[in-house]
This record gives sequence, C-alpha cells and structure tokens, in this order.
Amino acid sequence: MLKSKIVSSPAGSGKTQKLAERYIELLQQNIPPERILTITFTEKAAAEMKERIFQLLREKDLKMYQILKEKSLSLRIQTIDSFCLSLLKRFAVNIGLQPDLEVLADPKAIWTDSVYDTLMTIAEKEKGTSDYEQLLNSIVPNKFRGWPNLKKLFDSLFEKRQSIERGKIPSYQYAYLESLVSQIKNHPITSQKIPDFPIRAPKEDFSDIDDIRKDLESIKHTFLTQKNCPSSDICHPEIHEWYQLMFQYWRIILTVVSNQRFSVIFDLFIKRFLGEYNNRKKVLRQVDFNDLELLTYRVLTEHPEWSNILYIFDEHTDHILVDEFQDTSFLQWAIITKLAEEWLSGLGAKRERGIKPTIFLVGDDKQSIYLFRNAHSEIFEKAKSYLTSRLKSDELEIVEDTDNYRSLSSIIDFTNLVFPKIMTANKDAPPWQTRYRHFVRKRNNPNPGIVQIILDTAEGKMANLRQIDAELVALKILDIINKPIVFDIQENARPCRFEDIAILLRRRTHLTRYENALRKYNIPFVIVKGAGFYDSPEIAILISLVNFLSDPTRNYDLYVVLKSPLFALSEKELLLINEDLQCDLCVTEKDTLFTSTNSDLKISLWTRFKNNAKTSARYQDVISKLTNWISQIGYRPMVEILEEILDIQNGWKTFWQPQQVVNIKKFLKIVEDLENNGSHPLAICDYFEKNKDQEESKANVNTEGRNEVKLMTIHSAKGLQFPVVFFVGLDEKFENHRKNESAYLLINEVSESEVWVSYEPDSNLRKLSPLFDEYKSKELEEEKRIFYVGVTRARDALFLTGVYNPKSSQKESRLNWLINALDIRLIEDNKLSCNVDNIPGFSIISVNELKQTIKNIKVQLSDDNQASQTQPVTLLEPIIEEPEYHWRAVTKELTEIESRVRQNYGEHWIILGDILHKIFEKISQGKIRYTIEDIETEAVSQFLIHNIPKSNQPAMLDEIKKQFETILNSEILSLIQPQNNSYAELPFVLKENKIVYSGRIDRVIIKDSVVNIYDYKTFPISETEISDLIQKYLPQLKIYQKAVSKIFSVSKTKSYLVFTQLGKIIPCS
Amino acid sequence: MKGTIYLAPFGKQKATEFLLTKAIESIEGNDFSSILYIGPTPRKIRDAQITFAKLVPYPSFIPPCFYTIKQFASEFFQEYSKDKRILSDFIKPLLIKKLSPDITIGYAQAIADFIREIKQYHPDTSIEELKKKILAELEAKGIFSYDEVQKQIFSAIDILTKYNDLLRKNNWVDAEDILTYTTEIIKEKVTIKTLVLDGFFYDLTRIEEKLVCELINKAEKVLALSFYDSRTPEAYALPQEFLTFLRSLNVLQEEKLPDLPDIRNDLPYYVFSSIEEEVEAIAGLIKKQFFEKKLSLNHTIVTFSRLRDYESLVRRTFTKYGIPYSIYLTKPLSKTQPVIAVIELLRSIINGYPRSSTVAVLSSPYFKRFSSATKEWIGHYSRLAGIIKDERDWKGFEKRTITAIEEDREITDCEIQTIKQIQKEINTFLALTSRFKQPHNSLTGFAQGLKQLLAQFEWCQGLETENQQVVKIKNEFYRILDNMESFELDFGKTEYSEDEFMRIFEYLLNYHQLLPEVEIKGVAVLEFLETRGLDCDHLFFGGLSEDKFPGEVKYDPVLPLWLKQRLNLPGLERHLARAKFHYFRLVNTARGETFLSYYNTDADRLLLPSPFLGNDQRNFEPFNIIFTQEQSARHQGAIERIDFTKFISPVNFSQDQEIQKVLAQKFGPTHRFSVTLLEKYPRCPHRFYLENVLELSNLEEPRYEVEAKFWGNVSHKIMERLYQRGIIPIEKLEQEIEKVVDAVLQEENLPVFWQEAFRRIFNNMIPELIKIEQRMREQGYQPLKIEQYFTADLNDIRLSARIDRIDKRSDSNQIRIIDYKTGKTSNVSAGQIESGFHLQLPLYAYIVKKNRPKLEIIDVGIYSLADNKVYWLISKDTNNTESNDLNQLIEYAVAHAQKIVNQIRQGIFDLKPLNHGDCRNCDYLPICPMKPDEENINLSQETI
Ligand code: SF4
Repeated sequence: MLKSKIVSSPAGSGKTQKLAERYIELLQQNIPPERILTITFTEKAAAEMKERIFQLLREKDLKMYQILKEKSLSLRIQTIDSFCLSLLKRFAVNIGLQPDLEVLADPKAIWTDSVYDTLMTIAEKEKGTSDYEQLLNSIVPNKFRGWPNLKKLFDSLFEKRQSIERGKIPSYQYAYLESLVSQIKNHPITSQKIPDFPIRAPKEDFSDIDDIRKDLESIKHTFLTQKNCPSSDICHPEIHEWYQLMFQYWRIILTVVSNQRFSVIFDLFIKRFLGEYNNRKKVLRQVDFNDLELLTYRVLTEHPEWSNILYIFDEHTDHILVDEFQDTSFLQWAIITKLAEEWLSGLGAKRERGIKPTIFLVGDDKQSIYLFRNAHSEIFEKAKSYLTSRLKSDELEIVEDTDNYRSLSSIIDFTNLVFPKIMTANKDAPPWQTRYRHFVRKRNNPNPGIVQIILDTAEGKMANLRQIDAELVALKILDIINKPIVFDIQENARPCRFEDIAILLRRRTHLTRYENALRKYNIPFVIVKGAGFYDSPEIAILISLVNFLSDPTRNYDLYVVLKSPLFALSEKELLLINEDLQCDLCVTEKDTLFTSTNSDLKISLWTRFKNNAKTSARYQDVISKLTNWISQIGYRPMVEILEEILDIQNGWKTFWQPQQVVNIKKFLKIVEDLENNGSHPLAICDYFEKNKDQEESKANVNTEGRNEVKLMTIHSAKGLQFPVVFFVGLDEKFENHRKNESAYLLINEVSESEVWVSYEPDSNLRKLSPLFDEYKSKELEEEKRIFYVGVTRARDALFLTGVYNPKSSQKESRLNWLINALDIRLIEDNKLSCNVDNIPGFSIISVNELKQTIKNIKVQLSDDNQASQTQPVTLLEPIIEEPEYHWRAVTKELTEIESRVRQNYGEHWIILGDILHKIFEKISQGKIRYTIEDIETEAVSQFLIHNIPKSNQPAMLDEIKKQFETILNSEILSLIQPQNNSYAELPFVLKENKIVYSGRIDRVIIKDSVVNIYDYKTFPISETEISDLIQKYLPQLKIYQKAVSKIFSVSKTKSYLVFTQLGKIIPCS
Repeated sequence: MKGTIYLAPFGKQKATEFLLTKAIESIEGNDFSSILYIGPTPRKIRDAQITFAKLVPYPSFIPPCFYTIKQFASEFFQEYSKDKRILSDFIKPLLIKKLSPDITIGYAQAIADFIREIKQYHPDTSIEELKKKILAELEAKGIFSYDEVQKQIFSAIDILTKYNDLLRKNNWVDAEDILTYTTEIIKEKVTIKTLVLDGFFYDLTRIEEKLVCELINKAEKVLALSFYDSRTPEAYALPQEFLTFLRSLNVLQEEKLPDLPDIRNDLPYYVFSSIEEEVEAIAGLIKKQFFEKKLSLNHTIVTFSRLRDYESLVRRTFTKYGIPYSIYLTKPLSKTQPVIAVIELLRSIINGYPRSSTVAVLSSPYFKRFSSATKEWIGHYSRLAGIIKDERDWKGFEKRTITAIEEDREITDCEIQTIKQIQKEINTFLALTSRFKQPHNSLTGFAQGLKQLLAQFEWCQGLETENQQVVKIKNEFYRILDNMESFELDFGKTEYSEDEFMRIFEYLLNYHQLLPEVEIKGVAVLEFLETRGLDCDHLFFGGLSEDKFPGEVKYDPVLPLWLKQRLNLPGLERHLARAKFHYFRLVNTARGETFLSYYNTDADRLLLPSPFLGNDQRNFEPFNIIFTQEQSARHQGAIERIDFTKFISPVNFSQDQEIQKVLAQKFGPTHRFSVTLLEKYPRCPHRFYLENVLELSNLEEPRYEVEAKFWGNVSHKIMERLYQRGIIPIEKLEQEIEKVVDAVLQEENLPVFWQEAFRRIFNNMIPELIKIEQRMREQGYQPLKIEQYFTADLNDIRLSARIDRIDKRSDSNQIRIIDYKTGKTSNVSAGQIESGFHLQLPLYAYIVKKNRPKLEIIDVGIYSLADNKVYWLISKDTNNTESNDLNQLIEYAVAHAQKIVNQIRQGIFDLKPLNHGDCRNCDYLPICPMKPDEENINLSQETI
C-alpha cells in the first residue's frame, strides 16, 4: 500500500530522482497518469522531471513508456500556476470568464489606465464626496510629493495584489489599550513624572487618537531616550516599569494613528483604484497572473460542486506530488490541501470507491529562499502537523534524508561544521528559524576535494571591496585551471576547465566588477541570465531606430541613430548639423506646410539634417535611405526594415559578439511578435517606452560546448550543481535592498486567509514595530539559507572569497558568521589562521599566499570560442531555380480596372459584375429565360448568395433592369440566347512553354468554323474609353483565342468585348 | 463494379499522378469536364491541377472540375439554391448569443463548435435520442451529482434545437446544411463520368461520407486511393476507417500497389536552443544542398507543426539566405495593417480619444483624409501639448501646443498656421467620430456608421492599385459589415454597448481568416496539415516539440473528452491518429533529405521532443559556411574584433578649433549663463552636452498629475505676488497669503481638484510661513526686492540669475538673499562650494554684489517651502559656531564658474558625473560611454 510521504531531502540527496521514482511507483500500481498531479517550482523543472520520468520508465517498463510517451502532453507535471490556469479554464463558464481564458499579457497598461481614469473621475466628478476628501487627505500631508508618493504606494500595493486582496490592516485590541491606560493611571510614578498630563484611552472609534498623539509628543522626553527607546532605570524597578509602560502606550498610539492613516489609503486603493482595474479585467473576462492562485482557491472553497465537475471532466486528482515543497506559499498549500481535503477528511467519495489517494511532498527547508515571493520555510512544519492530524499513522511516513551524493568529503565536512553554528535555532525557536541536520557523504570517491577560504584585507567603499574580491577570484581561477581537481563520471581526476567553474553572487549589484576582472585576465565567461536587456547599447540603438522611424520628429532618437555605428556620424558632424543656424523656419512668410510642399518645419533635427543634404554626398545618401525607410512604415513589417538597416548599415559587423547577436535577435522577435499581434508602429514605440525601465533579462547565449566560466546569482543556481563553485562577496552586508515604498510596506502572511498589511513610511517608527522587526529577522534567516544553497552547489571544489576588514565594526555578514564559527584570525605576515584542523582538503589563505603560489603561472589561453580556425566558405549568392510550371489564372477583370470601377462607382459594382455574368450564363445555358421576371428572380437569389445588404439591393436591381432594357434593344441579345455550338463560362487550360494558363471564357460561339469569343464588360464606361480598354484586354483575349483554337482545332478565332451597359459588341482581333 | 480502390503503401510517391493518368485514359478527346476530382485541401487542388496539365497530351483542353468537398458543396449550392442565405461561420456565435444572451462570445463560439460537430457527426440522430444517450453515458460514469454539467450540456443542445429552427424559419443555411442540401440535389442534378477520390481526406465526417457516397452512386466510373500498409497498422487508424467506408458501399474492387522496401520510423532529429537557430539551420541546409546539386526547390517541402509561430521568421530568414519560397498560410483579418488602423480608430472613439490611439489614426497612412503635415507632426505636437485623452484636450490642441512652444522658443507664423490647420483636422475628426459614438446601437447601426466613417476618412483610398492585398482586405472587411447587417435584418436587431460591440467585432475580425493566394514557386512552406496529399523528395519538418506536435486537442468547455469519444465526436484519439498518420506518411514519402527538428528553449521553458520522434537525438554541427550578408558581416567583425565602445567615446573638442569657434559663438560673452545651468555642468558634463549644447531631450508621454516643477512655479508666483505691493504687516500676512493663493490658482487654470489640493497644502504651511517671516522681521529684515532678474559679467562670462528675494535691514545696508525651493533641500556646506558641487548661493551673492556694490551682503539662504525652513549659508541655525566667510565662498564659486565656462567653450565634456548614482536614472545611460556598476541599473529584488 502506498503511503503519503513527507521527505526532507537536503541538497545533493537526489530529490528529483525520488520524485520520479514515486511517480513510477504510482504508475506501476495502475494509477492512470491523469489522476496524478505533480507540482514543480518552475516550468523548466517540470520538463526536466518529465524527462527524468521517461528516462526511468524506458529502463524499467518499455511498454508503459511507449503508451505514456504518446500522451506525454496530458501528463500533469506542471507549476502550480499552470495547474491553476487549467483549472480555471475548466470553471471559466461557471465563474463568468472566457473559456479560451488567457493570462493578460500587459496588466500594467490596464493598471496605469485605471489609475488615471479613477483619479480623473474622483477629481472631476465627485467633488464633495468622501472619496474626494479622502484622496485629498492622502495627498496633502506629503505636500508637493503627495500624489507621486501615493501613486508609488499604489503601484507597490498593486504589485502585491495577490496578498493585498486578502489583506487586512491590523487593528488594536481596544481592551488591551484600556487596561494599559488604567495601569499607567494608577501607577505611582505617573503623578510624579507627569503630574498634569491627562493619560487617557482614545474613544472607542479612535477618532481622537491624533490628538492623543500630539499631546504625547510634548511629554515623550519623560520616558524616551533621544533615540526613541524607552529610558531605563535598573536601580528603580518601579520607574523602569513605568518607562516600559509609557513606551508601550506611546508606541501603540503611534501605530494606531499610522494604521488609521493607512487604512484610508488602503480602502481607497481597494475600492476605487484596484476596483477599477478589476472591473476592466472583468469586462475583458480575463485574468492576470496574480489572480490564478487566488481565484483557484476561491473556486475550490466556494463552488459547491467543484469536485464533481472535475470528476465529470476527468480532471480530478487522486495523487499529489510536490517538488521543492519549501518554496510553497501558504495560499498554494491551501489549494493543495483543498484538492486533497475530501479524502483527507475521511468522508469522501473516493474512499467509498476504494481509491486510496496520497500526497507526496519533497523539499528542504534549508533551501527556502523565496521569502519575497511569500514562500515561508515553516511550511514544512505546517504540512507535517496538518497531515499527521488527518492521516492514520500507517498512512503517513515522514522521512528525514541525510544522504549526499553530490559533494566530496571536505565540502560535506565543512558544511556540517559551519552550518550548525549559523543555523542555531533550537526546537523552541519560532518555526521560521532554520534548523540544521547533518549530511552523510554517499559519493564514492575517497578524494577529499577542496574547500578554501580566501580573504584579502582592505577597507573602503563596497564597490572597491568588490573590485578587490573580483581580482582575487580571477587569480584563483588562473591558479586552478588545468589542474586535476575535478572528477569525471568514473570519478577519475581530470584537469579543470573554465566551464567547470561557477561564480555565485548574492545579487547582481557588482556584477561588472567581476566581469572586468575576468576580462582583465582573459578568462572567458558567460553571464547566466544577465539582466539589463534594455540597457544594452545595441538594444537602446534599435529602440531609438524604431522610435525615429515611427515618428521622425524625435530628435534624441535621431541623434542616437546617426551617432550609432549604423550611420557613424561623428560628434562633430552632429554638432554642426544641429547648430546649423542659417536654416530659417520657413521658405517664405506666407507658406505653410499645406501650401508649400518642400518647406518642412525646420524645428526638428531631422529637418535640419535634411536641410544639410547639399553639404555632403554622404548625408545625401543617409537622408535618402532614411526617408525611404520612413515611407515604408505602416506598409512593410517593421522587423523587415530593421533587418535591412542592420544589413545595409553594417550593424552586424559592429555587433558581432554572441551576446549582442542574441540580444538583437531577441529584440527583433519582440517587434515581430508585437506586429503579428496587431500593434501599429506607434504602439510598438509605446511598448518599449513602458517596458524599458522594467527588468528584462538578456537573451540566452547558447552555452553548450563553450568553455566559459559561468557567472550567476545564487537564486538562478538553484537546483544546479557545478564541479567548482566560487562563493564570492562573503563580506557583503545584508542590506535591505527593497526600495522606498515597498520597504515601507509589510505583508505578513500568517495563513492563506490571514494576511496583515502594514505600512510605515517613517523609518523610526518602523524600527519600533515588532512586525517590521520580525520580518527583518526572517530576512536574516533567509540569508543563512542562501549561504547554504550556494555552498552546497559544489561537487569537487568550493572557494569562498571576500575582503576582511579587521578594524571594521562587526556588522552581520557571511564572513562574520565564518569568523565566529571558525575563529578566523589575522596572524603575522598577513596570514590567516582558524580552528579547523580535522577536515582534509580544507584551508584558509590570504591573498598574499595566493599570489605567491601563482607568481610563476603564465596562462596560455586558447581562444577556442571565437571565430573558428578554419576559414569558412562563402556562399552568398541567392538560389535561382525556375518552377516546373507557372500557374497563371487569367482573371476576368484586371486589377487596375477593377479598382478604377470601385473608386468611381462604389464597392458593389464588382459584385454586381459577378451577378450579371451569372445571369448571362444561366440564360445562355437555358436555365432561365430572358424575361424581366426570370432575371429579377435570379438577381434576388444572387443577392442572397452574395449577402448583399437590403439597402444596396434596389440600386443594384435597377442597374440590372437597365442593362436588361439596353440589351433587349441591341445585338447582344442574340449572343446571350442559347444556341447550338456554343458555350457559356467555358473553362480552359492552355500550356505554353512553362506557363499554364487557366481561366473561363464568358461566351464562345462556333459558327462557320470560326470560333467567336465574347468577353462581357458590365461596368459603366464612356465611348471614349473603349479603345483604351481594348488595348488593355488584348493580351487576355489573345490567350483565349489561342486556347480555343487548340481545343476546337480551328485556325480561325475572333474575339469581342461586349459592353453590356452601352449595348455594344466591339470586335478586337 | 464501378471502379477501383487502389491501396497504396506508405511512402508511395506520385499517387495522384497515377490516379489522374487513369482518369485521362478514361476520356476521349480534350474535353475533361466530366471528370470530378475531389482532394483534401485547396493547396492540393492546385497541385493536382498542375499535375493534370502536365499529364494531358494536348496543349490546350477543357479541364476537369477540381474541388475539395467543401468547395464542391458550396459551388453546387450557389448554382442551385434559390432563396437561401448563407450563415457564415463567423456569424454563428452572434446567432447563438441571440439565443442565449448571457453567455460570453467565447462560450458562444464553443457552442457553435458543439453544434457543428453534432451536425457533422450525428446528422440523423434526433435531439431526444441524443439527450438520452448523453444521460445514459453520464449515469454510466457513476457519480452522485452531475447537475451542473448535465444542465450545461443540455442547454447547449437546446440552443442547437432553437438554432436549427431559427435558421429554417428565416431561410438561412450554415455550412453543414449546405453539405446536406448538396447531397440531396446531387441525386437529381449531376452526371459524373469519372470520379477521382484522391484519398487524403481520411477523417470524413458522417455528413461528408453521405455526400461522397452519393457522388459514387452518380459516377459512371470511380478511381479511389487509399493507404494501407500492413507493417505499421498503428499509424493507419484513419485510412482504415476510410477504407472500411468505401468497402461498405460494395461497388468498388481493390487493387494493391506494390510495397516499398523500408519504413522510416526512427529517423534522427535535431535539437536547437532557439527558434532562430532552428530556422537558420534549415535555411543553411537547403542552400548548401542546392549548391551541391543534391536538392531541388521544386521538390522540397518545409513544414512546421505550427507555421504561424514560424511564418515571419521563415520569411525573413529565407529572404536573407536567398531562397525562393511560397508560404501558404491564412491570416486573421484583424492582424492586417489596414484593419489594424480601423481597430485603432474604434479604440480611439470608444476609449475617449486617448492620445496613442488617436495619434495612430491621425498619422495612419491608411486614412487619406488627413494631410501629410498632420501625419508628420501630430505625434510630436500632441506630446508637447500634454494631451492625454478626451475631447476637451484635443479641442485645446492649438492653444496648448502654441503655449508649450512659446515657453521654450519663438514660434513662427508658419508654424502657427500649421498648428491651426492640424486643429481643424482634429475638429473634423472629432465631429465625424462623435456622430458614430452612440452608447447603444444595433450591429446594423454600428456597421452603417462605420462604413460611413471609413468613407469619410477615405480609408485605403489610393492604395488599391499598388496593393492587391489591400483590395482583398477591404472586400473581406466590408463583407463582414454586410453580413452583420443582413444577419440583423432577418434575425432582428440587438442593442450592444460600445464595449460589447468592440469585443464582438474584434472577435469576428480575429476569427475571419484571409485566404492566401495559392502560388507555387521555390520551396513550399506549409502548415503541417496542409501537406496532406502532397509529395516531396526533400522534407524539412520543424517545431516538433511535444507542446506543438501533436499538441493539445482543442479545449472543449461543453463536453468532456471521454463523452465526446463515446458519442463518436472527434477527440483526443482522433487528434492523435490524424497527426500520426499524416506525419508518418509525409516522412515516408520524402526519400531525399529528411530533416526533423525542434527548439527546446522558450524564454524560461524547456521544451521536450514530440512523442512521435524516435530515440536518435542529435546536436547540429554548425556550418563552416557563410550564407548571408549578416553572417559575413559578423564574421568580419569578429576577425577585426570591432569594439563597439569606440563609437561612444566621451565628447572632447579641445583639439578642434572649428567646433570651438561654434561653441564660442554659442556660449560667447553675450551668452547668458544662468546659474542653474552652470550647476548642471559639474553634475555631469556629458549630460550637459546632450541636453544643453545639443539640446536634445525626449518629450515624455504626458501624464495626469501635477508635476513638482509646476508646484514650484506656482509657489514662486505666490511668494512673488505676496510682496509685490510692498511690505505687509505680520498680522495681515495670513489673510494676504490666502488671497494671493486664490488669485494665482485662478490664473493657472488648474483642474479644481489640484487647486484644492494646493490650497490645502499651502494653507497648512501658513502658520510656519508666518513664523519664518516674523523671525526675519525680528532680525530686522524686510523684503526689498522680489523676483528680480540680474546679470553680471565675470570677465568674459555673462552670468544671469533670477533672484527670488532680497531682504534688507531697515537700519543699514545689510541684505540677505533668499531663494525659494519646493524640492528636497538641505544645508549647503563650505566643502560643497569649495569642491564645486554647489555654486548657486555664492554666485547669487556675487551677482547681487556686482549690481548693488553699496549693499553689504550678510547671508544667502534657501527658503525651503517643503521643510518650512530657511537654510542660511553663513549663519547656520545649528549650534555650529564655526562660521563661513562669504567672500571666500564667492571666490571659490567664481573660480569654478570660470573653469566651467572655459571647459564648455573648449568643448570638453568629460565623463565625470559628480554622483555615479545619477547614472541609474539617466536616460542616456545605454549609449553613454560610462559603464557603471550594475548597482546603477534599476533592479528590484525579483531579479535575483
Ligand atoms: S549615464 Fe552618467 S555619465 Fe552618462 S550622461 Fe548619464 S549621468 Fe552622465
């Protein structure tokens, strides 16, 4: 029998393998794969998991493998979000969404619009309402920054709307405050210290709280220190106690005031601004990314029949597997438990049907590093207690795994030594504190591997320290390269290559320093998931190009374009063009743009530049090219124009570097996708304007087979391993990197439905807030786990680097942790010592020592990533190959004439022509008679077939009748009537050389061994146009003649144009 | 027996040729019109026509009829139907919405699909039977409660009933009715001599089977092709079905064509890391093999599981490689340029004329009505004028633009004329569109209004002759409008809100596909299913990742998949069977190069190979060939190791006398250097160069908020006005300030809300202001000069400054200079002045001193309105006893000013931003030679 399982599985213990094995175990119990839901952390992980499962399955059960593979798309191995999306699709109709539900691509745009419109509405239409007043009240206190600040706060709230929508502002227990007040009142010290001050509780609705706060301000020196801490007086416990009480009181009052202010803003945000946004989304009947989980949760809690509906659509779940469980948020966990609730409660239909569902959670609380995305490491404990309380003991198994198959012994021993001293939480500590469990080495290689701490000593600005650190890293890489410190699959030592090495950074802040150092020592590297796509010069230039082409009045963009390598005008030229003083604004006074074609307004750089055309042939060339491209905008895809420019203007020659090439390709694809989705050129500009401040990662360079050091953040190294790891920047402080508004905002998720939102712009008050304080500690815990994740990425060698400042005040940093844990000291000769002596492979050295060891190294770097050694062959000429046959449809009306008719007589003449032709054909075939009744009936049914609107019908009918009359009195009549040896709408095919002509001839009559060809022209013309028209139709008629002469084997053919409106037959041959 | 079913094995080439030869043999002479050829796709039809022409021994002939089943039925229907209108597929959801108004258009589409499937696969099942069957199936599934789903399905069935009734009543037919109707009339009207069933349309629906059956009945001779290969039965579910159907008719004999030697089902395939690499590899291979004479384009097919994702990339790449090609792919009308312009027009109207849509319309090349000047300048001017949206903004375009220009520079008459003209056109635009704007209207109303509007805007006019495609688009577009009208004429009008109309209309435009011309030249690039029935020697099959091939079955919100299967409706199984059969047939037909591939990375996703691929995965060995100009240029660049950064070097003209001359002129002795401008230089000389020498800066998209700059102006004005008429006694100050605030706000013409906000902000400040004023009076000072413009020469530099306020002691010549600020402020330290960071205050002192030598300047200060505080340069409020020597400070500042101006005149604009942090928010960063740390790039925490 399968049990539910919770597996704590530390780094390197083969988590993925365990999950895959569990999956296969389920399959082998004949559980249909559709019943198994597997949740992974990323889409990529889902794909990898699937791959792993297939791989295992192929080894174990080929038959099942084949069956399953075909259905691989229906395997439910997915992220929680994509699971939610598919679930919502299923319920779309029930909850009023589009069934072809998609996640909104650009919610920000809708948000911005909603903010604007809401502000406008309140400001202009709601004067005197409470919202109007509240909005004003929220703006005024911050003076001239009032609205910008508010807008920023709204934006941060919007960013976090998934939590915010469940959020509440904490309110204080009035009773507690009351008792505090009475305690103070009765306290003997009160009358002593503040004799005249009326200590009071606020009214129950807190309406007078602000006054209390103001009053308190005046006496706060009596119980607070300068730094707003409670004064202390240990010698006099009574006084000391009073300080504490007063401080409590004061702090609560401040918090309440602050919460009160915030709650006004919060309500306004929820009700109006976010409300407006949600309304718009509702109108579109779509969802945004943040809705997925929340809506799913709501469906699962509120829709009474959800499980039946899933069952009937065959989309229900019996077994749930969760990977990287530590990164699951409370809300996600709530969704998972909802799915399992029915059977966990023991009452569900499933048990009755004899199905025994299970749940399988695997992860490592020490690797929970997504606090900022609401992942809490205590989720593990929560899950344990939840499941233990609901499952029988023989239904649940809790496994604490300690095996490590990844790293060599030094790395494991080092981790086991250091982390217990860092992750110090005992069992009474709050659940969010991390506990460490020892590893056991399972890797079958006696070599201890390397762990080395390398420190330089210096002080100064962080940027400089990083420079030093980077230098050190580069040196160490040179030291180890080509040395046999890494092991292949058979565990044989082999020389270390650049590609074995990963440099892990906490964040990208100082990335450039490390890049520069590597560059300096000629160490090839690649940045994995580099940020700053829009800040790359090649992209900035292309954006300017798009902007300029779409709106040539944009001066700055033109400057960038001209200065860029694409046109390479020098700064001097540009300055001179720009200072071109002789250009007047108009040719003559009276001219306006509308009367004079060649006088542009010379107020833009573009017009000034054009004015300069005379001065240089080179300018002339640039101008004519640009003018040409501008004129193509709107007709030709932008992406084609851009590529042409890159081609012609030597763009590729300049941007040849792999990263640049892929960036440009990514950019072109973005433009292409926008165009394919129906964006016009200005909308493309808008898109970039809106997005260029967003972070967008650079395009991925294919690292396959490239011998390069990888630079990446620890977060992006999650789930990966490398033979050699550099954990750099040990000394970096744990600063709060969140910016203003988002740092002021604290979202505290206690459970899926209990979310507290606090906002405190005053940094002093934030320090006093226990909530903010606790969050800070949580962040500190997270830094520990990040350290752990980084260290455990290493297989064979681990280098930890940083800059040691023996003089600096010991602020908390990873280096500090190490110093304390290992008792690191600076000894004579700038050498370092520590208390580790029992870990083979471990060492600690200073930069000086490092430098000594590598003094004699001269690294020969082969440039094997660059242009290949063998000279490539050039094959530029285009392919020319004639098709076997050209197919030419000989159409009735020439495009040119058709569009003339359309323009002169209106859209419906073209269709009218078709209808008349059809009528003539039917008469000739004897299907209808040449009577006004027959023709009218036929016309009406043709109107129906062609879907002619009623409004157009009378006019068309009139025209048909008119032509009927004209023909009646002309020679055409006899031609149309049925007769022997004649054809109507005769199809033909004519082969000539390699061309196949095909078409239909309106009327063919064979008489006296002459084939007569008639082509009807039903549109209005004047007599004078006839000869011109004949010329135009002649080639077509010639083909007809050729075709019929061959079909009927006659030598004589004649062709005629029949102008039905004029009642004339004109011979043409 | 009437004829023969030819059983062809997998990989049989030229099957169509085989059939057609037999057909030609069945006819004497060159009139083949009595042959009816039925093929699977329009693309295949064209192919068969050419093949036929090739085979016929005559130079000219009367051709057979070539049709797909659908074409045949519709052609036939048009010929014989008298009084029926056709309900186009794209109108169906509208009708369904009419029958069930509360559902979304998307769900209406789902029901339309449901109706189509039922009509296709259950032409003879009555509604009652159907319901019974479904009920039985649901019960068999055995769940306790199935109310909601059952209700949903039954309501769809009810809609189906009503739908059919309504069509019948109004004499309309849908595509399925046409098939039924055609089957009926074939019985009496048709004679076919030879019927060729080029059997690639294996998955016939029941209703199609009936039609084919009737055709066979009427034909004198039948030539049919079906595939069967005993070696791979699992790939043959579909042809098997077809064969069974043919056999069941009992009129045809069978003839088996010889087997081919081998079956290819484990071909190697290639993985790429991006879509671009994949397409380039295909292009490179084609080109390489062509020149090695291993491949002919005419016998090459390039196909993708989802061509739409590849189309434009293939176009671009093949063009670059110089490979002739023809792509056969439909395109939704909504994604064509002329229609995009119309959609934007509607958005502009419906959303209240937001700037971006409105500018898109006014500058669109598809609306001839608007002059070229408007097209060119509307974007620029409307930004300048700060237009956001609304008729009101646009009506004020002229005034706002002119005011904005005048703030900056002089305006010429000609420019004014132009702006006036643009305003006129805007007015026309507003007037015409406002007539279209009606909160509720019927589709007919909207359609007619739109037609009229488009005529007035001269949509697409003048473009037809150059561009055939435009004509086609225009026709189709009007066809939709016509369809909406006739639809409402017969089924009654419904009122829609503008938003609803917009959604419906966009839906229709999206649904409606523009058919491409069938053109055959070069390599044929085809959507996978379009390869049905085609032969090739060389095959390139891309996009073979699991998510795309065979891909998911279309999601069905009405019926569960298992139920569909039980009801014999097409579901997952059929989807798989179809993909599998066509895939294996195609792969086996190609006998030359057969290249299978997919790309595996899509943003952060990893894609897995299609399950149809075997186990032979390979990595692609890059070419050592340069195929394109682009590659050649890149190669060249790599060899020359071109360093991009040399194109963005710091600006330094110190060696260039010509430029120095220009600069000397521009910034000569008569040029007024405002003190604020001078301060910009040290902050970043490079930026100074861009913004103040070249005078480049982008206009930002206007936003609805009153900017800090504006607050500053208003506050200055208020303070200026306050003392304009002399000194006000302290006790009257409050009253006076209030008065002035009101007056200034009145003048500024701010929206009421912001007036109110400002008034409150200012009113809150009054007590503090009075305190400050009082303090100054107590110190003996009173305002002497307010808002005065001074210039003063410093050697050959003319400095200028607008001094906000000078206070003088009534009893002496001592004065203090005050500058108002609304932004962030703090104390200015001597160090800041010495290092040149701060120039303003000492230079003010210098300028005033020069102008009023008799006055003794005691102090200079910043009066911060944000902090309600005056920051004095000399006499600091703090207990800091060490006081600064003003003259010394002036000396520092003057020296710096001199140095700065010299550098400007010499053209030295170094890269020395005072504060590297500024680079973070600098617009010029990407093209600035400064390569700062990434700390300077905006990153939020999420980027880690
Ligand atoms: S990026 Fe920095 S150095 Fe470059 S212009 Fe901007 S502020 Fe100046």
